[in-house]
Amino acid sequence: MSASCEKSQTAEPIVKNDDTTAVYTEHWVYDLAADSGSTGHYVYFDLKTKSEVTDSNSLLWHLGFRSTNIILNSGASGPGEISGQVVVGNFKDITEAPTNGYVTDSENGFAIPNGSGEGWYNYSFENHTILPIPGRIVIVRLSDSVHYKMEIISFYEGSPESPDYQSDKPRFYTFRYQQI
Amino acid sequence: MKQTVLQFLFLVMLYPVLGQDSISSSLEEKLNEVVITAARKKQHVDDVSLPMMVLGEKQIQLSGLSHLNELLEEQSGMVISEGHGSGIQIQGFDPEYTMVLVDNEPIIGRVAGVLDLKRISLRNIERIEILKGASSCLFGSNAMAGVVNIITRKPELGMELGVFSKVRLPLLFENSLHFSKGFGRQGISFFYSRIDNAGFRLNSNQAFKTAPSHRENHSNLKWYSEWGKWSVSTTIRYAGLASPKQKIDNQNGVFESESETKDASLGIGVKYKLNKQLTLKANAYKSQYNSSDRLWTDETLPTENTFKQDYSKMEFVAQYDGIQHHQLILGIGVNTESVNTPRFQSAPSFNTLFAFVQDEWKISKSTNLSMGVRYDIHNTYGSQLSPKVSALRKLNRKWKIKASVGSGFKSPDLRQLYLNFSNPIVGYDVFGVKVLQDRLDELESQNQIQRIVHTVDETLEAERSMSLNASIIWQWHKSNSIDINGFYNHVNGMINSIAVAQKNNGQLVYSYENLSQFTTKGIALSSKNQLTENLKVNLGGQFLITADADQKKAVKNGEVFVRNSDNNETRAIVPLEYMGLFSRSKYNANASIQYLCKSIETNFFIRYNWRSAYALFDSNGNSIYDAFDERSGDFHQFNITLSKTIKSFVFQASVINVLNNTSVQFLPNNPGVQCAFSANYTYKQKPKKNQFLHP
Repeated sequence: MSASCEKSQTAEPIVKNDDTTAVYTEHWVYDLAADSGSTGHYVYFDLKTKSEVTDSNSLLWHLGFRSTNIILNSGASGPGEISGQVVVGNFKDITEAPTNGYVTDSENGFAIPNGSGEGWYNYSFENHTILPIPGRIVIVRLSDSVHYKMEIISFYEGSPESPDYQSDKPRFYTFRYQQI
Repeated sequence: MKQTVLQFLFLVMLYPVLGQDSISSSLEEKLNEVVITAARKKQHVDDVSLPMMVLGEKQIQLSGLSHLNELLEEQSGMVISEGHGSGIQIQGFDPEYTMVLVDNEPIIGRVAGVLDLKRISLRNIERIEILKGASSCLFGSNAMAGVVNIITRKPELGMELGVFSKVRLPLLFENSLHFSKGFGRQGISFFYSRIDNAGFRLNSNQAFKTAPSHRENHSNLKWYSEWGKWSVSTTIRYAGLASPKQKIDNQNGVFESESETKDASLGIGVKYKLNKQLTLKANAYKSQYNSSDRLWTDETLPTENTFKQDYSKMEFVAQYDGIQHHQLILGIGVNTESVNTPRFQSAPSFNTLFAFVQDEWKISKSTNLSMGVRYDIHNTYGSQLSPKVSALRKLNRKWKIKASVGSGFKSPDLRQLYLNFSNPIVGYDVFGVKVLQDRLDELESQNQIQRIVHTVDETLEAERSMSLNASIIWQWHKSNSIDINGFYNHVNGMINSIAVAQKNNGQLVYSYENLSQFTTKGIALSSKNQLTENLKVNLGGQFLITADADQKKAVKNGEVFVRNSDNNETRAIVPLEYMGLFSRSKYNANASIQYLCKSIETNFFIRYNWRSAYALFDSNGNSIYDAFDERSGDFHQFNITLSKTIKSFVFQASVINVLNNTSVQFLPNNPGVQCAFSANYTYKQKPKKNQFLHP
């Protein structure tokens, strides 16, 4: 149940503010198991190497996943200083990181809000499924100059088009991300 | 769709040709034509200034159906919505906004606001009156979309004994007995029916039935008596439904379960006719609903859930006809409602004091004006004032127009205040606003709360609505008419569930808040046509637009997106792609043909019903109903019933759902094609003298 991260797609060049053309790869992560066994543990993820990290008390990881929670390595969640926010738009069209609005994880809540409709997903009472909200893009700030944009595609194993709460396995993240 | 419209236009054009003078009333129902729901007093249906529909006993019996949900589905502008039972959607409102009455008194025992119409048997009904539009001015809370009033059969003079038996496949046995006797100025009637339903399975691979097997009992006892200026009528009603232990599928898995519901009521009405002008009435009504179910999630003891609801009402009504051209109705009363269930932290109870007044003013021979207002004082929600004005004008012998404007309200239900529910398997909680703080404190002390995401008020306001209706009726021949009704409803302060806290297990705690406002608007059409002596064709349809104000605004502002999984592009949806409220069909239409074949003395009753596609829930994550959500597809249903009378017997053969539509998701209570045979025997003894009985 580990992440399978073989596939990569090369994105179009992104024109940065300083008019130098930088090409960053659009990465896809498929079925990252985010505590699929409900043990209460996070899976920690390194955006730079696109790999899982086991040591939660390190600066190696940027994002942590557990069920619908997404944490950043900062504040109450980890020793780092990663901040982030959720913005609205088309993944491809977001070519510049916002200059402000970043928050770190704290005792009062996560930088990426967890509630249904508030962060990256909607929970439906009617069909009991977690669906990523189209147009919600997570911006992760690693440092003043390094930002990533991330879009969650699915919360269910195999990214079914319309998941079924009885037959599809939840807590498997499929997402794409790219440095901006 | 196009074809349906063309067929309809064709028939409309044919009317004047076919509508010859030879039309007799052989197919016509000998309807009393007197209704009571629109003004809480008897009035002729032609004088009613509100959109109204009456289904008579003959039509109900000719349909060959067993339960109310099946019958209402065949009516113009009526849609059955599935979920927590089969409820009725009128003018695009959810089932919780329609009041359902039996003999003018409310049926209790709603689940999540829905009154399951499968609980109501179609036997022993004299007529069903359906009033559309907000009617809180007479009926108080919940009568926002309309009122369905089921008038059961009354004792009649003479003696009548009826026995009815029906067998249906998928297996259902229905047996009933009816007895009525009137003597002098007394009358008594008794009805008993038992239905054994084997349930059905839509997916043969599954270990459980789509609809579980169950047994129903329905009974009704009425006694009516007159002494001089006094009359008393007493009704005792009982309905019970029991499902034996069997495998069922609830949202958490397949488990063994058994369940039972009981619904009993007693109503006593005393009438005193002081003189020609003034009649005084006192009505007392008491009703109790009990439901219990046991669920075996493992081999050990079952988890048991019980629900007990009590409702009582006492009211005094005066009817005064002493002012020329005016008929006044004045009423005051009180009702009490209480619920006892482990899902509520306490056993709450509500009291409402109410007063209403209505004037039916016959301004001229051709114009009626009806004005009414009701005031409700609720022990928890303060007071509600619900006015309504409606008018009817007969332009000439053929044309008639009606218009009404009224307000409606719906008090928060006890669940929204006192629910104390924790899902044991998934781990989320739902708390009513009155118990929320206590329960949050408790969870906090157990270190279960991660954070509070939203703070809600400890009080909820009643939802309020404004309703407009306007109709044109063209009665181009005695039994041929076209009625076009436009409607508009706006609801403020709709109560929705909202996430208030997140727990450490990642799950949410929900409560309720007056969150949103919505509108429903549309056009309903119904046309009745006696084309020849032996042929009657009825047509109906509804075009409906619904919208949630906040959702509509968000779409307009470009804040709602859809994602195309083929190219991974996301874009904002445009207003045209916003579909409104879930479970609503933009179109529905129905047609029926009644043909009396004289040579074999058989009545053919063929009905067609169409409902356009709808979505039950969001399937693409933006939480609104847009053009890209998964939808049901159109449903077309044909029902055919043959009836033949031989002396005192009526034999019937029906094929219901001829096209065998099935859908576990969208039609969970429809077993597909059904074949039924029934026989009804009636023994009648005419009264000896000309006597009068006025139940």
